[in-house]
Amino acid sequence: MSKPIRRLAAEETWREALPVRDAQTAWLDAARAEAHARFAELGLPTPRTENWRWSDIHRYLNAPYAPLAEAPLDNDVLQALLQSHLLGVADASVMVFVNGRFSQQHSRIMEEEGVEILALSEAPVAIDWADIAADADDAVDLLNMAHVTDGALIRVRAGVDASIPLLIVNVAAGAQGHSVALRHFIRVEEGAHFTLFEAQLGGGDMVASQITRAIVHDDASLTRVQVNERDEAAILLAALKAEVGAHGALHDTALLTGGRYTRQNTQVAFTGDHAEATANAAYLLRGRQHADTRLKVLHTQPHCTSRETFRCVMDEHARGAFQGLIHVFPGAAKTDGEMSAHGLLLGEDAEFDSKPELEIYHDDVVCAHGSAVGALDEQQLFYLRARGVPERTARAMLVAAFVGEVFDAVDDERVREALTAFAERWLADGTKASGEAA
Amino acid sequence: MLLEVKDLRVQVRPEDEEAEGAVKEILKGLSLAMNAGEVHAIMGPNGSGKSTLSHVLAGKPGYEVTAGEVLFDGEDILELEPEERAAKGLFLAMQYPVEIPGVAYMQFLKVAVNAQRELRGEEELSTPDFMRLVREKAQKLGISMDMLKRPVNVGFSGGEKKRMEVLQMAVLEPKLCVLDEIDSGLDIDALKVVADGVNALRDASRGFLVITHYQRLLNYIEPDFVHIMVNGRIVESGGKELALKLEREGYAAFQDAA
Amino acid sequence: MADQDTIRQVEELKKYKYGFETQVETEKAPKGLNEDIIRFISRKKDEPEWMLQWRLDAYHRWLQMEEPRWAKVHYEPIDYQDLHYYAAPKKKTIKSLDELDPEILKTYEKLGIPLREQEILAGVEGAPKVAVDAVFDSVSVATTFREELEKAGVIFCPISEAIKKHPELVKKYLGSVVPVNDNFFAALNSAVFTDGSFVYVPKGVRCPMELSTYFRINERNTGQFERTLIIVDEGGYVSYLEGCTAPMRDEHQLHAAVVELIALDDAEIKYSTVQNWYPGDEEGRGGVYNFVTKRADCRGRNSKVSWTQVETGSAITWKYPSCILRGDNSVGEFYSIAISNNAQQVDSGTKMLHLGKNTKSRIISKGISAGRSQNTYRGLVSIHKKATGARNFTQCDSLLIGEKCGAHTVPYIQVKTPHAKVEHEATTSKIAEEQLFYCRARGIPEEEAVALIVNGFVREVIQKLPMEFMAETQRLIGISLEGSVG
Repeated sequence: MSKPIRRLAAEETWREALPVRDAQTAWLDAARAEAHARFAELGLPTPRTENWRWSDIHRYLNAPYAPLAEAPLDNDVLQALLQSHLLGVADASVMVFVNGRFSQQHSRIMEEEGVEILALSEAPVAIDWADIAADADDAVDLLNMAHVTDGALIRVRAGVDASIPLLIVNVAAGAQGHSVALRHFIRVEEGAHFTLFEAQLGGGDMVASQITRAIVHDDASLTRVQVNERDEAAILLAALKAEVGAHGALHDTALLTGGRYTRQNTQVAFTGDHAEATANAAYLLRGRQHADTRLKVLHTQPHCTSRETFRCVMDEHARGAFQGLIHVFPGAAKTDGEMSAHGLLLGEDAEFDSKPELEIYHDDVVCAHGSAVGALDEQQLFYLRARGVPERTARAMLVAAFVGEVFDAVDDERVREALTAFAERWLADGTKASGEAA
Repeated sequence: MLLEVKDLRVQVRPEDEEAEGAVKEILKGLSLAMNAGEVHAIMGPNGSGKSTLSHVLAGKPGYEVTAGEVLFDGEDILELEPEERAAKGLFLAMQYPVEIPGVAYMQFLKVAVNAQRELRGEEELSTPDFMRLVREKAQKLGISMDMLKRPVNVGFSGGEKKRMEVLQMAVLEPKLCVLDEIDSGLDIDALKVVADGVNALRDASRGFLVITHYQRLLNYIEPDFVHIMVNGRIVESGGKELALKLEREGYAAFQDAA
Repeated sequence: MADQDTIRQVEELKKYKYGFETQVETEKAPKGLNEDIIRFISRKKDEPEWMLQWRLDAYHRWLQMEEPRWAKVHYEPIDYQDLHYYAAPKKKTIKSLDELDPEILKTYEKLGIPLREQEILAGVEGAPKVAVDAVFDSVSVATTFREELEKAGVIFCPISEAIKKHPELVKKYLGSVVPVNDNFFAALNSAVFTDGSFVYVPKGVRCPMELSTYFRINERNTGQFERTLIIVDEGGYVSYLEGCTAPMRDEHQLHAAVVELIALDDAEIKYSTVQNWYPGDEEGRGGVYNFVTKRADCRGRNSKVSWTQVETGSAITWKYPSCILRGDNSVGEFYSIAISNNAQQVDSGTKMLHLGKNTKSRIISKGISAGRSQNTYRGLVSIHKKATGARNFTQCDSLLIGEKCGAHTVPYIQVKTPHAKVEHEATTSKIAEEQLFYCRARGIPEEEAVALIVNGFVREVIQKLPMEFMAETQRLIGISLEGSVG
């Protein structure tokens, strides 16, 4: 009974568009062509693809969004964006990618012993330590590979406890109607530690595709904080694919509050024992925003621990979705996994969909998941009001408290405070904005 | 007159708003009057409507006032929001203080203090002044500052929750304190601590409405007046000796009056 | 090592207790499925023309459909043309139990139908009132207590009889909860179902007794396609018990039943199942494929449906007893115990669709996997926009015994209104070593200790079963877990 699925305008364009040819990164052409061919076979996910069941991609990719070649740059807009975003408070080296190209002019990379940072477009040939290959079964990854123009390559040498984090800013200004694709690769070698911030800014009606691949070696750790603050017309297809070695750690935090549609694919695979991973996210969505996360934690090794905490707030007509999987493989003894996905619905037309899944093939494990969906707690609200807190303030406090758990785990104090402060004023800002609009 | 309740009738709105015939009248013409500086106790059996009275005074949603009025300092407060009543100096110490994960006690108190000041047109308390105020009050009640760093009431024992209610009272300095079964779930030592805290706040400008099921509490917080409440009405009022009579004879003696 | 012992023991799990076959002469249709076979079934059942057309319509829809593949179960493709779709004992109707084939009575004995119920079957004075509509293969061969039920106005009869005697009820409700094209197996059932039970409880009537049906598959290569339809009119109540066992055999047996429940205003239905069909040998050979569609429509205000299931048998279970909570204030409940061992595969759960205001649902699922079995809970809680005041609570717990089994939890939660509250909790862990040790240190043999701990683990669900099933269930849990530890 399968009905043929209408191919999307964007998909048509992407199938037909030739992979980017860029003199600077000619060494990528073969990989681009291969990914393009494979994408043409696979096509984009459909609403019937289980991993995409709560992303009606038809509604979003209904314009051509041709890969961006060159864009007229509005420098004022760009400067305004770069000066006022949340992660801007971080004390870090900065790499700015404007419309899919590394911008030396806006970047500021501080030297640190044992830390190599360069842009993909700066590499004359393939870098032997950077494996940026795409997953042959992941259409979005392939598409990104086929049209990739730039990205960050980072290597932290063994034993280096890097003191300067890196902030990668992926900003679009004047890219309306187009798509851009970046691929980042980070390798944290044995016993090394690194912190990465990723900001998603600007946009207009465009598609930003970004894949971050991370390899964390034994005893090493990577901390990443990602914030999507793109404007309300932008579409973001983001992915993190990480491998974590023995006694290694990955700590990932995301705030999804911008964009018309955000799709986040996070996959963590353990490659050694006694490793740990946290993957947390807060959604603060309003209007007709839609954010959807597909999270997979692959417990392939014994004695690993994972924690996944999602706190999703949807106001007005916004829609949040979460599909999480803890997959325990045979032999992964003493796995400890805990996943929780809570939705807070503020708007009459808000929606939350959740699928916290456990797939377990070993008996010696302790795994749990929980999911709760509802409105603000009336008892708490009354308690606050009975102490004299005005209703609007009380609501804002409870919203901030709801997502607070996610930000509390962020180590960088300035970033944590910026995120917390943002959550505290988010509700009031929205009320103001709606008021002004009306 | 600090508080005047006149012929108050209150219904509970059923959970299913469309269900018919499920409306239940809880308060059936209750009247009460008290002056500043007085302590009034309301005693009644379970289901007499004691907690409903406290909730309606504080403006908890879910109740429908069908008749009567509540004058606070001469002003009808029934149309006011809960936060407006709080700012005017009405404080409800709850039987079951709510847990609010993610909101630190200190933050909660500071927002409450300043929101009330703002509603009254007063200036905001600076952070150092606020800290000083809280530290001083907390010390008197034997509350460690560590407790104030924790989320509101989360993981607190029954006694700790009640003590924190008294701390809030001390910090917010209300005109009228409604204590809703503040003795429930407390052992004798915890009860003494809470009662001492309350007694320390007694003065000529402040009134207390103490709601309880048991006479025991009134050994520690001595009332000026005692009211017996049965079936949504006050059936007998008197001095503190009335509580002792009740202790001897039980509620049954008063049931008929209802 | 204890683990190694466990595996060995699990692999040597005792032979299926109910593995025997009854020798009764049967009449069956030729293998295969086509319009002629459907006409043959309809003719055999002496059905009216509208029923035949309904079946043919379902058949044509089925031809267009694909077998579902989303469940976590794996099996060789089924050749639907290599099955018999009709088999009936030759001696078809009887007036009293004396006329019942002695072989069948003996079968009941071996099945362990309690003495009490045998007395009922024998018509002993003063026996508890439990009506047994015994289904032997595809045709009801005995129905008792019909008269007493009739006095109360309750209709309880084989569905083939209801089609003839109460066509207005059947026409109105059959396929109204599970449409013929709902899914592949439901469409197949709609085309070829041969028998099953029909219950109608009229307005304001509490059914005077528990209704119990024992199913039993008996014919080699015979698909069994039961069809059950239960309607409880305004203010009525019924408790329906269903239990089954099946004999050992080599080829897989397909079972694709459809159960439809309809609860009108203020009506309540309790539907309890103990499923203990042949699970196959240690390799899973010869076990029953249990592909069942069970769904309740809480059509009326304040209606309530409770599903309670104990699933211990079958090689493959594919089953999601669900509730459509259409009426305001309606309540749906799902209490489940699913035990899998050896090569068994279970993919079971429920759907709670909240459409009406203030609808409530509660899901308690307890999965126990041992051996190399795979046990999946799959559930959906969907709160529609208009379902303000809706509440759901879900608790899914899985227990693993032995390191080669799998336990999976796949919950879907969709909420489209802020005026609802949904809570879902799930845990997965192995059987607690400390608890086992504690029991053994007090002198309880390990196997008994496991049964004890597991019975504690599933207690909340067992308590939801009618009295008649509690003992049988506890016995079943013991049997299912025998040999699962060293």
